[in-house]
Amino acid sequence: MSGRLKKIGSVTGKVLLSLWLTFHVFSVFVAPAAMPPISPLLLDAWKVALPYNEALFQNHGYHFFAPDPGSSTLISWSIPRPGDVPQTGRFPDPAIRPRLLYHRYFMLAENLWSFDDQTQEEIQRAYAKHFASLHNSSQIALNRVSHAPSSILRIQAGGRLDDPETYESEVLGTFDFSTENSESASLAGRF
Amino acid sequence: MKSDAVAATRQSVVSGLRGFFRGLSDDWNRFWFEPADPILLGLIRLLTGWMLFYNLLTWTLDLEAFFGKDGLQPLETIRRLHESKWLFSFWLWLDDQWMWPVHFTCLTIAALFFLGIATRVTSILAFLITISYSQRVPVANFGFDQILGMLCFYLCLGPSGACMSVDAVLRRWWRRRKGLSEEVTVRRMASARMSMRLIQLHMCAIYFWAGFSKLKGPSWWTGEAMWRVIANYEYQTVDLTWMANVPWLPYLIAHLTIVWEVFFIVLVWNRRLRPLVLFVGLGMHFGIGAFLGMWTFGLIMTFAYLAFSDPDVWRNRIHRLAGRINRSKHEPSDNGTVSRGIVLREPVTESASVCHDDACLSAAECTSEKVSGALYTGKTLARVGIVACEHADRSSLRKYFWAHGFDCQVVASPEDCLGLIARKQIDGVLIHGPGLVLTDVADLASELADVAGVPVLVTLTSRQLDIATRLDLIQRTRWMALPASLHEIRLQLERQLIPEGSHHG
Repeated sequence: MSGRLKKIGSVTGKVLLSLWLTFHVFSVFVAPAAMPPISPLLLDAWKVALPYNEALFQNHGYHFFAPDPGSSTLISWSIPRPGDVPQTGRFPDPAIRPRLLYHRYFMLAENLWSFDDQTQEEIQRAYAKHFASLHNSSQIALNRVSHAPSSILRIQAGGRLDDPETYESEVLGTFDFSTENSESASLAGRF
Repeated sequence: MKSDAVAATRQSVVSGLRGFFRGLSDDWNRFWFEPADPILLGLIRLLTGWMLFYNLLTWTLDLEAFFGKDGLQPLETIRRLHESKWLFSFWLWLDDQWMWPVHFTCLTIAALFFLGIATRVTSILAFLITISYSQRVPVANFGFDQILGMLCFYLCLGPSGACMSVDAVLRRWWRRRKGLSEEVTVRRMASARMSMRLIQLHMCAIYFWAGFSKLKGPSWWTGEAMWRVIANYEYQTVDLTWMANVPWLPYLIAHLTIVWEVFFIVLVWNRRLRPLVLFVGLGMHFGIGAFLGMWTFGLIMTFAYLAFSDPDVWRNRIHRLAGRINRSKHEPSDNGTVSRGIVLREPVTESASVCHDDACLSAAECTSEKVSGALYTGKTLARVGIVACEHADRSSLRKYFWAHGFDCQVVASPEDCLGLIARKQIDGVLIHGPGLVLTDVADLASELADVAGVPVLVTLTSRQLDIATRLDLIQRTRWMALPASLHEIRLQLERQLIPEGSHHG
């Protein structure tokens, strides 16, 4: 009797395991499907697997350098110095070592724009605060810098990858943290 | 008459369908649950554990900036971002005062996981640590984090500490202390197969989507995409702008990348093409590491390739390496017992048992066969030692040889065979290769032939034979290719056992 029960238990276990494996493989394959353009059918399938994929940290697109590799994004900062030229910097800074940490900073500049507006705004402010406090300042200005890869023709004509014309800057804002200590941190001025 | 024909047709349809579904079920079980050698999982754990430890070590350099409550990704912002999601990260609930103690605890766990200490527990913790760090800093994530999370998950599902781990060393030490055979028989496990399959399928999904997503972009069709990657100043670590003078080269690489990624999911399952497919992948990922500076991402992708490898080949490589180290430690040996990396051990005790899959065969069972039958030498019984990994194989070989007048001594592993030889007078040994590690088979065969002077016959599957021939493992051993009938195996063994001119007594 116990042997029979054991066999039933083993078969049931295997069936349940097989069902989970089927669902897991389905989830793995459907997770990247959410990247647009997408059919309503695939979107529904993706939604079914979403909580499971989020819980296992596998809700990824795997769209490496796709659909088109474009400009890379950097963030530059400028700290005003009374009676002097502003102190400036940019991240990711190639001097950052090890390379994995450099890539973390690179992603801070690169990935931010895929989040919603509120998140972007809060994180830009966090960047500003971080770099301002690193340089003991209460004011800082941030710029978003797009660096387009030079074309083959430009290089053939003697151009370089870091030619100034390949950089394009966009002002993100000026941040003032001088009131932060009095618990009333505010964004002093945004352009 | 008509109803009989209908009934017969119905019966044939039903039996056909039953056969079809049974075949499907067998294929499914074989694909997912056929017990496999866990050595590759151990190897992947070793490499992934090292990468996890390195990742955490890198976070140490800027921990407060990235993980602080008011850091580059403020805690409140990330909490709000994740509030409607089903995800786990202990970092979302930690105060800054606990940041460093928790981080150092995580580093310690990662080190334990890497070394394979208490792997069953540390592998689960390693997965939770990996996803916790990644979920806390979503803006700083990239492909490396995704693959690290994927591998850690599958490593905690499977027996990643069964091999290449301190756990395995401790198990061996425990057996020695208990007076059991020092070497633990490789225990093939269904969970090892399942984990490996999951890694394989996940890799297929990754490349499938990586390839198809590129097809959405015009630059991958025009071939410019690869140039744009090469010319990305922020990524590059080596100047490849010379390719502007040979523009067909980046175009070609772009087209090859697409073809390789899109068809990986199909081609990698073909045994003949698999080495080529993986070799191209290795080239691509090493290129990403060397030229784009993403060594962590490039390497972790290639670690997952091990799931597509042959465990026998890797076990042989590792055994050879261990054998070399062993030889250099033991030579010259004072008692002459070291030979080809194998140490002749004391016979196993009667209480010892060797495990294979879920079945245990006790040493008492191994020695219980006492058969009287036909005499081959005219004076004594031919006593044959049979080594077979699978219980079913041991059983059928024992019955067959017993029925044909042999005195059978059946064991499950090469180690136990050496113990048997030391204990009993054995006239010949049949080593049934399937399921056994090839280097173990080769070492046992030469040990028996050289030291004990016993005739040996080895049966090998065509795949094993192929590997053994490539690695030159069976140069001095009589072998037989499987499939072969029991009759053929017996005749071959008899030829080796019976001197020329002798006949049945």
